[in-house]
Amino acid sequence: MKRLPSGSLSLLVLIALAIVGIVLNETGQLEALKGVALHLTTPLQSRLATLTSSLSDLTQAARDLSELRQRNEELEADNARLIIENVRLQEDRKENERLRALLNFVQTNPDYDYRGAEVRARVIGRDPTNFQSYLIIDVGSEHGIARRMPVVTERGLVGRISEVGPNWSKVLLIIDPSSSVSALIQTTRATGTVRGQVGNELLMDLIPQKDAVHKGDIVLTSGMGGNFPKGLIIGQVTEVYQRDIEMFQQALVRPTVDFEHLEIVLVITNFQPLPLETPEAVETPES
Amino acid sequence: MGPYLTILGVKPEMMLLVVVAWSLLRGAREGMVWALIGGLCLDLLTGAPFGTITLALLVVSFLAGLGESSVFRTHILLPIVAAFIATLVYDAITLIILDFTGHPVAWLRSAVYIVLPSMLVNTLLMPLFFWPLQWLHRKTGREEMHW
Repeated sequence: MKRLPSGSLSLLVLIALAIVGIVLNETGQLEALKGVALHLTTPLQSRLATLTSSLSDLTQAARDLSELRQRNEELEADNARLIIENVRLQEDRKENERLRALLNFVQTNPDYDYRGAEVRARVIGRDPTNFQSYLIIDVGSEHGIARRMPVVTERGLVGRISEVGPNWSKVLLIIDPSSSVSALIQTTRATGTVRGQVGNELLMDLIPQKDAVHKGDIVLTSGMGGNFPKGLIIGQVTEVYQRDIEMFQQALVRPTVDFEHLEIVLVITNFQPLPLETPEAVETPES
Repeated sequence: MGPYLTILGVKPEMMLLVVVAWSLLRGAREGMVWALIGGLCLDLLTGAPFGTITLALLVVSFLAGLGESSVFRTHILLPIVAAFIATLVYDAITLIILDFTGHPVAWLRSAVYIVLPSMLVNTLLMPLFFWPLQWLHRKTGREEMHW
């Protein structure tokens, strides 16, 4: 007789046991045994369930972390973009306000043709020495700019063009010691000359003794001498120097223009300054 | 940024400090090269006659270069004293040129409101320029013998 392999015998035994188990289960003979087994295995099962749940939570947390990290990166990118956009919008709003103020100024002074010119980049747009006060603006002869044209903002007189290149110009500010502007006091019509001072101040000189000048008076361009249009605001009197032994009074003037924070200026392009008098021009025929 | 930064009402003269410091470290020859380059760049921006800053920087650089061969060249006070004197010389040359070329110069007011504050500010700022340049000099310069 042929012998069954040992593996087959084990299989047969297991099948037989399974059949016996099914039969016992169906007849209700296994209930007590099952109860005892379940009673013994329930704590273990509970712990296993907790462990499985924890592991599941852990893998879920890892997945969530990865997603959160990605989401965070997206939000950070969005945030950076919004910050940049916000800065740009704020700059646009400020520029809009400045242009609106300049537009108001142009509308209230319709006699002159204004050409807008942004002051060139701040770093290179200012005089590097402590003794001179110049600005560089980004319009030049290509834009119709010429020497001695007045430069203003909505807050008042800035200076005049002193040097012109194709696409740049230098502006001599009224606070430069070499600047001189014919001026008058708005209320009393007292005339004088406003000169730049070292230390970014203005001094109104040559005011006749008989004329009244007070603190707080507004100083305007007088138009005399033909270098500047009449009626542009220069500043406000902060101090009056009056001594009877002097021929003239002097007044310290605070400029209305904030020269440290100039960004946009206007060049008056249709104002024709009177030509400079050269020695030949003032010579008489007799001489 | 230089022209916007003001201390005691004056703009620090950074190019002057760089030229003085480099002249002290490497001598007048190298200092004058930077004086020429820096001076010409600044002359493009200024309203003063072209060449004013270049000339002032060249003179200062030459004088500072004399300090390179000094026995005190490694003394910590040398760059500070040099900045003080260099500012005086630099501002004086600038004012003299402005005066000669017809620009109104209020000497006393300029001295009180600009030259003296500049001397103080530049002197105080000199270490901020000198130490980094000294490091650069050691990295790129000639071998020195220290006693």
